[in-house]
Amino acid sequence: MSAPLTYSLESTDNGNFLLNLGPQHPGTHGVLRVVLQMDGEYILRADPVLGYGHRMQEKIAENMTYLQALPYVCRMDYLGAMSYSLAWVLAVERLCSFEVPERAVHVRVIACELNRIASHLLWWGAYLLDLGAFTPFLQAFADRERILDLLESITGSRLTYCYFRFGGLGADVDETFLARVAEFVTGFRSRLPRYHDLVTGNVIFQRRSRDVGVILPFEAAGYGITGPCLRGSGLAYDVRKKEPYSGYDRFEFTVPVAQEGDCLARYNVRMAELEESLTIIEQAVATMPEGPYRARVPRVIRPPEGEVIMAVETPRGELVIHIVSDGSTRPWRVKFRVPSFANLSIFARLARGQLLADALAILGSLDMVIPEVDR
Amino acid sequence: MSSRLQRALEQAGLEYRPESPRIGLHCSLLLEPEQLRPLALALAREGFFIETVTAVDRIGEGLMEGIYLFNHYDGDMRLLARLPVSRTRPVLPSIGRIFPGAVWHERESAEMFGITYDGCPDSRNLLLPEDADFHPLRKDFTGV
Amino acid sequence: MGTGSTLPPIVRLACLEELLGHARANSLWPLTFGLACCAIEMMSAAGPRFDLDRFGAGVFRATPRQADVMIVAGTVTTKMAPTVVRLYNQMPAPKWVIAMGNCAISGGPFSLDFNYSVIEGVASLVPVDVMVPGCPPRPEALIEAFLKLEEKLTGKRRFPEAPRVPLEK
Repeated sequence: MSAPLTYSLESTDNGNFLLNLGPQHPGTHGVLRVVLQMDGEYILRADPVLGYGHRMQEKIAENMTYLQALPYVCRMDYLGAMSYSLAWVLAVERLCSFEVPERAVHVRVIACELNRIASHLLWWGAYLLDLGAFTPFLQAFADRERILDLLESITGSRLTYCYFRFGGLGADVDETFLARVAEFVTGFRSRLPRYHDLVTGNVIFQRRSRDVGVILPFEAAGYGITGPCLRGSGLAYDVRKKEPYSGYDRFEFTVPVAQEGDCLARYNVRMAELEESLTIIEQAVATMPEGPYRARVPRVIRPPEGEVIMAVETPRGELVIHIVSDGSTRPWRVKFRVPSFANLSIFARLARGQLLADALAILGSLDMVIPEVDR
Repeated sequence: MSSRLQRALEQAGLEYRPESPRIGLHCSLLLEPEQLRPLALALAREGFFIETVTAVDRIGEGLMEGIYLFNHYDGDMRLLARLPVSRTRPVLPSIGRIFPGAVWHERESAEMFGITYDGCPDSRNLLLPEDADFHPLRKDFTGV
Repeated sequence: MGTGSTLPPIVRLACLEELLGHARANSLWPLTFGLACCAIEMMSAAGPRFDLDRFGAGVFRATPRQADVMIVAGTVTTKMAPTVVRLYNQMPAPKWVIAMGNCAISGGPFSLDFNYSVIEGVASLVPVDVMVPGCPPRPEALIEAFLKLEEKLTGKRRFPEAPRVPLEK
């Protein structure tokens, strides 16, 4: 057991005091600790302390074969597990030059976009729980359960999917699944206005999110912000458009962008992304090709010596996987560049001078998963 | 190759070395430690963002290779800079005062590999416990 | 009484014990202690489909001072371990612990040779009453854990056991 963290910031006289937010706190979305130097309700300085969820993911990936590392990759960001495992299989496929059949490409897109909707729904429920509203959480989880049922019917798990394989999918999908997906899309689209009725125009929600936690566009690059946090500040960087992977260049969709940079802007971007995901799923289902669901690849994956970098757009932002291979069955070095790590690094700057309640709203709007940050 | 990347490399006095976008990179550079900060300044001025700062332990060659990955929001400009240094006492320059987000990457890389980032504003452990004295991602680390 | 009560009660209220047992079993207030992936399944169990609230266990308390049961949902790391113990100590007796998920039971997929950061099982830190295997366990499994805990408190199981499916020989 490690020694407890002894902490000393500058002197805490003048009535200032140190307040510990976490590591057990309902509003920190995992095991995050933030040491706050407070002046009454105002935060003078925020210092996030990480590592409470450090699970040695990079060391594990270096000591396992590429296939053995796949389940661990899903467990880093469990809300966007499909995107993570897609990044891993795409990285290995890129390294080994495996071709993926068209049917698998479409199903991968459907699975990732369903996962994106599920992740945004959970974010929506949890964010409003942080702001003090309980009903949206129940609404979001009801719809999320429908998506989880769909994904469970093809993958077998509800949360940490291990569905993709090198060269395709673990199992094929059938017409029933595609029909149920199409039914879900129409149903969810008709329910989406209810979400906006309940929350978006609510005066308390507006007052708590408007002009709170503004990320200015010029400082985003210094921190490496990506994802909806960046698109809420007016910069339209989405890996699915800039570096299309897994067939995303075939589908018509827009990247929602807001200009204000506050919590409300990030909220609006994510809500708009729900609609765009539905559009992508519809197109992928309508144009689903027949054919094999998996290419024949060697049973033992022994990539050639070299490096590969794979970037995908997870619900939280840009994930970059950097694999250095030494020609053996295990990677020599794996680096996971996770979006929440960069998005959280700006929190100390955003929280300064804010009320504590506003700082929690900012933390919620950044949409982080702490085991992803800690890896 | 984009003009932004070209301008940034010219400002830093470096030559463009193309890499195949098939492996996810557009430019790959091998640098000496003193060339890093001018490059980082030039990239920051052109609006590049920091993707990651990490390292690769090349134990066979006795080197610790510092890896710096930059990208631009306009796309198609991922740049990887490699800085091989000695493995016994690796020292790399810090770009934490140029890219504020790099501070956390450097803290993590320092504790995982035992690298000292010269000039980093914050050198505490990030993910490991405060009193940890081991460097897990080194290839000769097999457990506590 | 749960394993959390380290001292035997000074006053024994013989006929009221059973009533107190039933009262405690029907209003187990969990501590929000989600650490990793299992936390999401814990939230789903509290959600509208699986609804822990119908067992009286839907009132998740953020502070240990008001909680009865600590559901350790997720991986406990060496950095987090002192916090787990401190939270457990802050809970007033009678208190119980449910270890949810493989990581909380035995370190799960992270109990490897070079393990430098994961505590292999929360039972080495706090006394555990119910263990729920799974990675992550389904919300129904967490509900079963609550039913087992209630059985531990009252001596009787709330619902009849599902008939066991005979194994094919």
